[in-house]
Order: sequence, then structure tokens, then C-alpha cells
Amino acid sequence: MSYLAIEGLSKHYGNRNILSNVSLSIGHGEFLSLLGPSGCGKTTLLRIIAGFESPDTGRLLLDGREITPVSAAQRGMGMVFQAYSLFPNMTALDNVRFGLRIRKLAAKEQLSRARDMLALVGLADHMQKYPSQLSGGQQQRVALARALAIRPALLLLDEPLSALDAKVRVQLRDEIRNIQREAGVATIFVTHDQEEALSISDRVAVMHDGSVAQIGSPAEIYGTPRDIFVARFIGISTEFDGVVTESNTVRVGGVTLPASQADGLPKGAGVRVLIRPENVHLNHAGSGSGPALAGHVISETFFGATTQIRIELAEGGSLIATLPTIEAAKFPPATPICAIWAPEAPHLFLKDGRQATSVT
Amino acid sequence: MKFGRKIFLGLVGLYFAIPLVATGVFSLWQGSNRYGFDGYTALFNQDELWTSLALSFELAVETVLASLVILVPAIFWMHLRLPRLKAVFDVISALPFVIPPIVLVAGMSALYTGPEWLVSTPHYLVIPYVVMTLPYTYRTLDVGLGALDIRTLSEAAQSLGAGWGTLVFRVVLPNLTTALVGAALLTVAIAMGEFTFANILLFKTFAVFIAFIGQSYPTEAAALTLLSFLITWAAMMGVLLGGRERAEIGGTR
Amino acid sequence: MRRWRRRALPVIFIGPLILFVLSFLILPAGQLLLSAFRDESGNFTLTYLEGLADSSAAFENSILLSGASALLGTVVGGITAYLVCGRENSARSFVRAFSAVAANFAGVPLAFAFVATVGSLGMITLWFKQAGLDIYRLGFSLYGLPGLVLVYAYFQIPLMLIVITPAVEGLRKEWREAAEGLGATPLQYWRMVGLPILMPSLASAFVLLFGNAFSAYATPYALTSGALSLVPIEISNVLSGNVMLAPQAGAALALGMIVVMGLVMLFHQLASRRLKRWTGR
Repeated sequence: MSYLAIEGLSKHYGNRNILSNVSLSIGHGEFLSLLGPSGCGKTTLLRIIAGFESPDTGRLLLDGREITPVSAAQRGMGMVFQAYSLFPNMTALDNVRFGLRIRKLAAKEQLSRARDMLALVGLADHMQKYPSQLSGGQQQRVALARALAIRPALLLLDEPLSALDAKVRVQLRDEIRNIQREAGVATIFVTHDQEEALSISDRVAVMHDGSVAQIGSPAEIYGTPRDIFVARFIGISTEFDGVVTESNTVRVGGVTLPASQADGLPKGAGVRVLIRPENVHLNHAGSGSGPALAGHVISETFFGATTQIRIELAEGGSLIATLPTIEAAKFPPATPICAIWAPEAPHLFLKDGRQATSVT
Repeated sequence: MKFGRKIFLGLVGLYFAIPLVATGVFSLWQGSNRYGFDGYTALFNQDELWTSLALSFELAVETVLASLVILVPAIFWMHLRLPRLKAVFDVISALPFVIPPIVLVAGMSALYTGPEWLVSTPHYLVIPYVVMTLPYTYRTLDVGLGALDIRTLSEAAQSLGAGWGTLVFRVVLPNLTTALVGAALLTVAIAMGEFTFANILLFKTFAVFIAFIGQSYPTEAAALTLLSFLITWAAMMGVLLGGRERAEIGGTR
Repeated sequence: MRRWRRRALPVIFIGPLILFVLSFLILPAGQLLLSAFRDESGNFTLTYLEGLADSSAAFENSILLSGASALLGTVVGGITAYLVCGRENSARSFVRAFSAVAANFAGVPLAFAFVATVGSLGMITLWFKQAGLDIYRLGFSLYGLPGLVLVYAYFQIPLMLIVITPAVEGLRKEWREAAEGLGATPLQYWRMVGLPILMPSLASAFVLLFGNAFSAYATPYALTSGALSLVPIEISNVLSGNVMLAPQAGAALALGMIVVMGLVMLFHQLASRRLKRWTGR
């Protein structure tokens, strides 16, 4: 099933480790995102796959064949760069034809394939324009068409949307996904934008300090982060210090709250408790029963369908909750509230950052 | 490939280093196998060295002043009120390139044979020197004033009740120091080495003195050559350190 | 009062420059133009312009010298700029500083530096002679065209470096990698992408170097004392009365020079316009 396999890849510049022992695989036609903050090694990993840099150790297998020593020119990968990668001395059409000219295809074949590709990215009317006459979004479409024209073994996208306006970015993002599905080409997409990664990928690999922190479907990455780095990097959450009390509860401040992940942890163990804002349920103070965090609303941020509420807790610290806007109307600022969550909602992490359940 | 690059750069480096080194050795040569500073002592004892150097420096300073007086108001006004004029000024500033010094000196000596008090003093040279340095001075000042956004500055100054004099002397000129210093140093470097006009109009400037020395005293000429290289170096370092991205190209060839 | 100011102010600010350029640039050039077409008694004539045919050797030499030194400067300077631009900062700023100095170190001192080096009594010439190699007997001469090309290269190469470096630094890493990723060899990259992108800059740099050498006067004068026939030298010979030629002949030569330099500027403009279309600026 694995189409490209990356095995034990390491790379360092001077005494800085950029990648340490990275292993990954990607299936036929799969869309994999490499997500991480800048400096996490994601771009270096992509450049090693493209052949622009070589790893210190480890190897790359494409369809079972080792390609580690193969030069970039011979690998046949289609690469799309951040920006400005189009040849300024060629029209859009000639840019797309470039790889086909190198491959010495018949002139007729070159033209028809290049035209098809430009039509695929929606630029049939701009074939004779020079890059400087095209908008940033159009330039990236041409770059995409140029990469796809050579029928690449893999499509490699190096933050191709980061230089574009927010609106164009979302539109082109969805188009890239559609075109990729249509072409059926396995794709690796590097980004630091989690929304981008989560919205278009089959799988996401979250990278941190030169290694893969977690790899999985967008839902897995978001719903069950494997360590505290991933949990903090993806989405937003509120963090508390907590102590395991019973098999299913943690004490936060003076309140004992349900947490199913506490199961199996020794009593008295110190943990970090992370709770996503959409998992926080609010009640008016005094209306609920059982243990809850007491506090009052200090501000609200309107996002259309949902509203984010910031709460100041009675024992200090604050908590963020996201509610449907209709719900949120019941809790105007200064309203005293109490907050609860379902037992499976909070994520517990040990002091070393590992997820609590993975210890057992 | 890496080896080839080193060899190429090495050869280019040698080409540029050898004449300087050889000139240095030559300037110390006292016949057969003796070397020493005789050439330099003989040179520094020549009054004409100092008078010609002083004259060239004087001319250079006058050229700087004249250029600024003529150019700063015009470029200032262009940026402030008449941006359309930029095309015209660009053409004007390219003209000295199309009409090289040797042609200009031919034209000027055909057209102006007097008045005597002007054409017979070396200060007459200031006129062609201003013409020659015009492209470089113009470009420096144009970039400098362009970066200042004169319009906004002057509107801001006037909204605060500042008059014209205040605007020019308290706002524009202080903000223009870097550009002015760059233009001035470049002008000095060009004027100090200028040969064409001085030689044909028969004035003994520094460059003409070097040529004169070279015909009879080769050792002294070599010493002078090094001296002149140092002057160029000093002026260019000034231009580069003054923050200009790249030193322009002037000089007499 | 207001109207007076509105009229007077532009004159005060711009007038001096216009007047100066008219008197000391346009009028002298115009005077040459007129006198080239007028005989002694002031009648229109083409004699002097036709007389330029006798000076065809000067034009030939000048064009040969300028062309050869510009070509040498373009090739060596261009390659040097490319090799240096990927290097560490200290090497780059040294090269930048040295080229600024060397591009301005021209004229008489430059000529003497070469006389002291490879002149008939230069240091290198003598060292070679001691080693049993007489380069002057082998046909080399600093005072002929090949010698002048060698000397001119000393300011042409740095000038090229200064002019071309921005263009070379403007070659994006992405272009090379994109070409490589699409399967191009380094040679194919240079043939299809790198050189075509640089071509307008190279062309305009070449004509700039050509014009620079064509108008050079001090260097060849100091080297050959006016013996080698070049256009600027011929003009100066007429001016200083070294040759038995009417001033109008000098004017005709100067006119020819203006035409050549005008063409140089024209090519320069055309090349930069081509560049503007690509960069969109």
C-alpha cells in the first residue's frame, strides 16, 4: 500500500539537527500534509524528497525502488514553490511546456498537453501571458499546471498558498484538492497553517523539532492529540494544572472534575489538563448540580454562527468556551456561571508532555 | 566545478593585483638591484605636486558647490511641483554620456573664446566638470529626494506654519545629507582625476601633472600612481560607507 | 503679486539648470554640428563629412578596441559576478568595494600602472626577460590595440561587475530548482532560462561598456602619446594643432562620435524596455 516510503531520515547543518530519524509513508493517490511551526524541518524534508538536498542517513523508496541517490532532475517529481518560481521569460503556456520540451515530446503533444493542463487549472484564456501579467493566484495555478504536466511521480507543494490573499488562498486550496483528486497523484503539502492542512488532507503529519510528533487523519490529530505539543499547536484550548484524585477524576483548583483519561494513573499524579472551548458547557451559577468551575463572563467575541466566551474563574485564571451564538445570548458579560465538561472531553498530559493514556 | 571556480577567480584576482604590486615595486626601484624611497622624496620635494594637487582639490570643491547650487533647487522643484519634468531631466542627465568629454571640449573651445578673465583661469574647468559629473550627481540627488517624499514633507511642514526657507534649510537639506555626501565624494573623485579638459585647455591639474611626470620620471610616476589609487580608494570608501548601495561609475578614461 | 510668484518661482528653481545645460552642453554640440557642415566662408558643404572617410582607420580602431574590451569585460565580469554572488558576505563586499575603486581608477594613473608592469621596461617584462623570455620580441606590445584591450579590461571588468550584479542576484533560486525538478540539466537551465533572463541586462551592459571604452581619452593618450589612431585621440590632435587639419574636420569627427554614442544609448534603452516587460516594473 505504501507508495513512497521514508525510512530513518536524518539531516543536520553544522551542529543543528534539522531532521532526526524521520520515517513516513504515503499511499497511492494520498494527500499528506506536513504541518508544523517554522523551523520544524518540514521544508527540508520536502526538499530531500524532491532531491534538492540529500539526507545524512536514511533512505527513500518510491514504489519499492530506492531513489535516495537519484538526482532531482531524474526523479520526476512535480514541485510547486511558495512563489515567484515561474520563468519570467516565458509565457504561461511555455512555462507549462518546459518539462515536456526537456522530455523531448513531439511538439504537437507538448502543446496539447500544456493546453489541457492550463484548462484544468482554469487559465485557458491566459496562455499567452507572461508571469508578470498574471496575479499571484494565477501564477500559482500555472506553477501547478507546470508541475502536473510532466505527470509527476509525486506532487510536492511547498507552502504554495502562503503568499496569497486570504480569499484567494481558500479558493485555490479547494481547487488544488479537486485537481489532485482528478489527477490521482500522491501529494505532499507543506504548510504552517493548520486550517489549511486539516481541511484538505487525507492525513496530516505534525512535525516538531525535526521529527514527526503525530501522523493521522485530520480528525485524529484534532480529537486525540498524542502529546502536549500537538494539542497546543492544533486548535485552541484552555490549560490547567491538575492532580489525579480517583480513577476517573482530576482536581483542578479546588474542584474535582470528571476525566476518563485519568484511568490507570496513580493517585496524586500531577497532570496538565487541556480542554477545547467547544467542549465546555455553561450553566447559570447555582442552576447545575454536582462539581463545576465557578466564574463569570468577562467578554464575548462574535464569529457569526458561534460566539467565543471568555470566563474569569473564581479561583483565578480564565477559561474559553465556544457556544452556538443563540446559546451564548443567555450569558451576557458579567453573568455568573458554572462550567462543566463531559468525562471524555479533557486531554490529560504528564509533565513530560506525553499523553496520559499512552503510559499504560 | 568548484576547482574551476577557484582557478577562474584566482586568475581574475591576479590580473587586478599584479599591476598594483608591480607599480609598488617599480616605485621603490632605484636602478639595478637597489630599492628605496628616493622616488618618493624626490616627488614630495616637487612644488608642482602640491600646487597641482591643491588646484585639483580646489576645482573639485568648486565643482561640488556649483553642481549642488544648480541641481538641488531644480530636482527639488521637480519632485515638489513638476513630476512630469522627470522624463526631460532623465534625458538631460544622459546627455553627457552621448557627448563625451573630448567632444564637449571641442564644442566649447569652438563656441567660447572669451571673455579672457574666464577662459584663461583654471576655474573655467569647473563648468565642464559640472557637466561631466551631472549624470552621477543628478541620479544620487533624484534617488535621495525621491526617497524623501518631498510633497508630504512640505505639506506637513507648511501645515505646521513653516515658511519656504524653514522648509528647505530645516527639513529638506538635513534629510538629504547622505545623498549630498555621496554625490559630493563621487564628484571629488571624478574631478581629482579629470584629464581630458585640463590637458587640452592646458591647465596643470593633478592628472596633467602625473602625465607630465610620467614622460620623464618613471619612478616618481609609479609613486604618484599609487597615491592616486589611494585617493580613489578613500573617496570610494566614503561613498560606500555613506550607505549608497552601489558606487556609480565616473572618472576619466 | 501671487501671479508674479507663480511665474517666477519655477524660473528661479529650474532656470539655472536649463540655462546651464543649454549653454554648456546643447550649444557647444550644436556649434560642432553647424561647423561640420560649413566651409571657411560659411557656405554649406559636405566636404568635411566626406573627409571622415580618411579617418576610417580611427573609427575602425576605436570600434575594434571598444568591442573587444567590452566583450572581454562582459564575459569575465559576468562570470565573476555569478561566481561571487553565491559567496559569503565578506568576499562579496570586498569585491564590491574593489570594483568601485577599480572602475574609477582609470586614465593616466592606470596607464602608468601598466607601463610599470608590462611596459617595455616594466617589472613583469624584466622578470620574464631575466627568465629568458622577451615578450616584446614575441610580438606583445602594451602600446598597440591588444595592449590597450588588456589595460581597458582593468576598468571594464569592474564596471561590468557593478552593472550586472543586481541582475545576477535577481536570478532566483526557485528558477533553477524548478528547472531541475522538471528534469533540466544545468546546461539546459542556462540555455533555456538563465541566459535568456539575463540577456537584456547583458546586452545593455555590453553597450554601456562599449560606450565607456569608445569615449576613453586619457588612458590611450597617456599610453601612446597620441600615436595610435583612435577617434578621441584624432579629435584632440586637431584641437591642439598637432595635425594639419581644419577645425571643421575635428567637428566632423566629434559628430561621428556623437552618432556612435547616441546609438549606444538607444540600444541601452531598448534593452531596458525589454527587461521591463518581464519584470512588470
